Amino acid sequence: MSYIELKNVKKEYIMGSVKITAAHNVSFTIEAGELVVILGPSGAGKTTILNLLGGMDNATSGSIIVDGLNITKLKRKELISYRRNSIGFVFQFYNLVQNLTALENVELAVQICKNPLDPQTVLEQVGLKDRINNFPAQLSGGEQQRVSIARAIAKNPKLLLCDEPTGALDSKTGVKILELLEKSCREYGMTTIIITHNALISEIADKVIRLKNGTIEEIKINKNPKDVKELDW
Amino acid sequence: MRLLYKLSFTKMRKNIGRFLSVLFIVALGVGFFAGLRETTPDIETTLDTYYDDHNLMDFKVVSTMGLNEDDVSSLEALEYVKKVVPSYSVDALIGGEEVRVHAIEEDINNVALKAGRMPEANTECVADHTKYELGDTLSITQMSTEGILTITEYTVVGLADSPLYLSRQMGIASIGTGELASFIYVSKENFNSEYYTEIYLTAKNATEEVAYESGYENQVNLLLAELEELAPIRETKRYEEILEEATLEIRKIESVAEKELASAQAELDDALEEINEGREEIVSARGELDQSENTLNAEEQNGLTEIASARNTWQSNYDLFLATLSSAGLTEDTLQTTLDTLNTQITDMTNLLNATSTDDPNYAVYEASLNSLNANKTNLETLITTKETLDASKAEIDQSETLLMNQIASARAEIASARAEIEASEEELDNAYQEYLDGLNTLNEERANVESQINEARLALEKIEKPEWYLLDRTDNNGYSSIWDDATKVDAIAGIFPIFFIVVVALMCFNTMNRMIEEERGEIGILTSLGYTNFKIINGYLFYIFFATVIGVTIGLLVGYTLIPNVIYSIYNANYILPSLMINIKLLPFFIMILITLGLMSMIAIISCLKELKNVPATILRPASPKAGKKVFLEHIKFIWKRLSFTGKVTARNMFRYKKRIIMTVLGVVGSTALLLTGFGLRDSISGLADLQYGKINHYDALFVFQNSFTNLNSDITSRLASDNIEEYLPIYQASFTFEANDLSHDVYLLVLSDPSTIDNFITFNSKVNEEFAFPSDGVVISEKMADLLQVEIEDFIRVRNSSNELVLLPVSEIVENYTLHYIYMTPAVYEKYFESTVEYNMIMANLSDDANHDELSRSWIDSGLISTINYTEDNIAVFDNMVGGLNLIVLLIIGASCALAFIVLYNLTTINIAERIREISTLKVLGFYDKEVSSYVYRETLFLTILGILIGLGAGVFLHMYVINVAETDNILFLHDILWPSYIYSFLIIIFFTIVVQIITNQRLKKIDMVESLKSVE
Repeated sequence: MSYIELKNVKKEYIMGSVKITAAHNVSFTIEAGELVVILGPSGAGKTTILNLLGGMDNATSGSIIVDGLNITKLKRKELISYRRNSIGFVFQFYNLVQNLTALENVELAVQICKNPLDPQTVLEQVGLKDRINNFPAQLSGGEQQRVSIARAIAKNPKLLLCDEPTGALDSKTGVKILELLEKSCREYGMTTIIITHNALISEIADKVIRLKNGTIEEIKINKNPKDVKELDW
Repeated sequence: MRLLYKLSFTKMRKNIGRFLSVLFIVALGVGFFAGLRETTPDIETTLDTYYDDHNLMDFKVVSTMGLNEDDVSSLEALEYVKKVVPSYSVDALIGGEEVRVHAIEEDINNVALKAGRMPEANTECVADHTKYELGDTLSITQMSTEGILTITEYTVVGLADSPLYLSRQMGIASIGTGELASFIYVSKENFNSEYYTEIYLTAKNATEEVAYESGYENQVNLLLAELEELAPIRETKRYEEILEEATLEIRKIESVAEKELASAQAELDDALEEINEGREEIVSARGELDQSENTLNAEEQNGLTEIASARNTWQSNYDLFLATLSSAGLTEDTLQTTLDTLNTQITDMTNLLNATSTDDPNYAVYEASLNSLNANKTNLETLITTKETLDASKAEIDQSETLLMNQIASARAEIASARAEIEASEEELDNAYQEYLDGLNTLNEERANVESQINEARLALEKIEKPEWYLLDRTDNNGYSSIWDDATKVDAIAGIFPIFFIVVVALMCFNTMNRMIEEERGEIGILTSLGYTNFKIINGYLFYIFFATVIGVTIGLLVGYTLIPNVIYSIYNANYILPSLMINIKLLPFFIMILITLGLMSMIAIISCLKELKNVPATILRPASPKAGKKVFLEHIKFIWKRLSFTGKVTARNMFRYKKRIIMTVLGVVGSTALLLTGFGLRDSISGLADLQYGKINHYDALFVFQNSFTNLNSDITSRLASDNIEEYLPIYQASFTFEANDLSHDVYLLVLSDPSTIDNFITFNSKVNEEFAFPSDGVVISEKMADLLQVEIEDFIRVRNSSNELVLLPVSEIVENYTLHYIYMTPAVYEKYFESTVEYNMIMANLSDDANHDELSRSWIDSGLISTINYTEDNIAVFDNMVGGLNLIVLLIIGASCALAFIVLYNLTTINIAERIREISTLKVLGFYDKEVSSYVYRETLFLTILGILIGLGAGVFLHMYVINVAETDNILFLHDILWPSYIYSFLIIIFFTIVVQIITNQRLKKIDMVESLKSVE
């Protein structure tokens, strides 16, 4: 059995009298320590999948099993616990708490989990040793995203979910961020899922899941994923 | 354009909470403001209408000597007078209570009939509806002017209020304890009086003016000026009339007395003459008697002489006879026996002769012897005859002597009795003379008496004081001024609260609008980029504002206009007897209020919009740069910062980050807490009073009000007092007086304590000026509020007036703690010194045993006829609580309003807090914070700010409370100035409670936040 297994996942939203199917018949598996890219244009259902995987939403039907736990059956509080202990998020807009320093932002996440990593160390590892006590507003976009990644990694999650992590960054900084994600995946053996519309990024993945109109168009396994540095921007 | 309006509606619908919160903030602020502002005008209108509808007099003229028709006609002649109604009233005791009996008048001081009908018969009356029931029989036992009412028993056929009595403290009565307790109206015909006791006046054009307003004052002042001019003229005129009348009266008395005296003198003179005549008669009678006595004596002498000579003659004859006898050898006694022997010898001789013949020799002898015997016999018989003649003449002499003697004796007796008679009449005369002298004396005394009386009357005449007119205006009505005073006090309180409210409300609205526009920055950007002018965009918001404001103001005004004046008015019902409140919703202020609020709100909207719109569309379209985090000063204080928990640090940072919101939160909470504490504090200030006043200060159990005043208790009463559950007692004199302060007349109880040394058992005096209280022997003790009102200190003099308006000056020697009503205490000696009369006690202060049954005690004492009533201190507590009970309503109003304010402020700020920090919150949720953790993360600072606000608010509340107390304190109540600690706790807990309630409500919203959307979306 795979580390993560989605089976016939379907998600419908009811908007007034209209039923919108955001995802249907989605099935795939991810192994522990894999770097997976979910690829697709906007509206393809990427975020829906991410939300479901991240325990932010419940699937309408189907099952999602993460490390043996069927999260589609979880109650609200159990979902939160799942998020709390098993998931690390990295967002396009970093979503740092403006009022906290880099270190404090990491600490904010860390203080509630079971087996966190040391925030200071993680921040040093993401290359922010000197910016530890800076507020987000004093950091560049890339630096903020690093803090965001550090925050996610420091939680020591089972799964690192990244939603367009480079979307708000210039390409040079984006590469650095991808490097960091790749490194964390490889070094910490952290299962990482990156959601993006940028096909280029898929080259670094172990597995690429292509979505279109809420269904899986293709699942491709890269036998030899490229190193980030090899990417041609 | 139409689309923008539609958009506004959508906004209202979609965020109904925000719309309603703006709406209710406006409603609350406007309602409270308008309600409080409108209260006083409403009361004024209500009262004015009441006065006008019931023809309340503008002036009442009373005179120390009553008023007559001339007074009436001279008043009628005044230029500014409208109605002149001469009338009567008298203070009476009915069932031991002091009741003023008024004559029913057609068109002045009409009663407001509450039940029943107006009297049709003279034995019927309309009575105070707060005291009596229909069908009650009221029997007058005593009147201040005895006999002025011809009928003393009345049946209540109607119950009414009178515009003359607004206050439940009706004023001073000139009877009983001096405290007027009630009123009745009876037919005018029942009054039997030579003069009117009062004349009611109304002023021209005064009805058209609103009472209490300067317009009214101006109108009545015109009449007042005239009255003041007329008063001395009428006083003099009346004085002269009275003087003339009295002089005539004296003259009449004088002449009558003179006549009487003269006739008495004449009678006496006659009597004297008679006496003198009698005396003369006696003298002449005496002379006559003397004369007859002399004659009698002479006659006696003559008689006696005659008898003596007769006796002499007889004696010589007798002696001759005796001599003859003795010559014959006889004695008077032997005469008869000799005769008898001779007769026997003669018989024998005869017989012998007869027996002897003639021839017998012896015969001749015999015959010669017989002859000699016969010759002897003849001699003897002559002698016997002589003796008999002598005896007869002696008897005759004796007889005439006896006769004489008898005659003389009876004559003498006659004379003696005549003399006795004379003496008796002489004595009579002497008595008559004594009588005459007495009469003369009496007459002289009488004369002197009459003279002195007339002199006295003359002196009194000289001393007759000019009658004094008292011109009483409506303020004579005990409640007339004080209710207005109280109402304006509400105005003063109303002054602070709304300003407070409006400030908070305006800030809230500003905050909300600001937030709304900030949130809709993107939309504004789109509209701008689409080419909508700023004007149109702002218009869209104004439309939103317009709806919220108009609806909010309307709700606020409708509720505020009706609810608040009624609540406040109902407070006055405890102290006053009032008509029901007339709510006027005036359209103009209504619209002005809408316009002002609208203007204010629009300004807020425009300012907020312009803040965004000043940027170019491109900038507006981009998310507003989040507020940068900053180190707070606290971080520099390392030892504190280090000790703070992580969340504590976050909270600290946040608080300094959102300064505006923090200030708003703190301000809002400070305001609510201060109001709340003021509310509770007011309750403390009031509710503790009864206990203090009647438990700690006036702690005697009962006052026995006696029917008759006394200087010493008689044994009947003392023996009664010895039993009957009475533990100790103290005779006192209590009377109602008035004093003037700040142009208002206040009632004050004057108490003379028969034995001030035992007063501690009944009243505890705590001196406000000295360390230790000692009952002064040279001056009076007054209660502190009175001292405050009069602004007097020790050794100052106070001026008080009794029910007849006589002024007395009293020196103040002590000022004591006291919370309700005003009191003056003094010793009998001080009373005697300043009132120049001996004190007569009329009540007894008593402490009862714990098991005393009040009803039984009252009944048995009242049945005894000694007392008219017993006042129990326990009942006073109830009365007092009832009196201030109304204030509890205003406390509730304040508490309610502050709760509403607290809720709205907290709700508003919390919602804004959440809205502003939605990304942060979403992040926390994504990071796997449990709902509770998220809540506590978000609410911790609100809670902290709330607590900070509460603490500041409690401090501010102390001052606000102090201010409100100063404003709200009525003239006869001294509020407690301390807030009790539970009130701090209540205020604290209530605000915390609301914070929690708000958090529970907003927590739902917190839970529902769509974290993904808010994380992804551009802010």
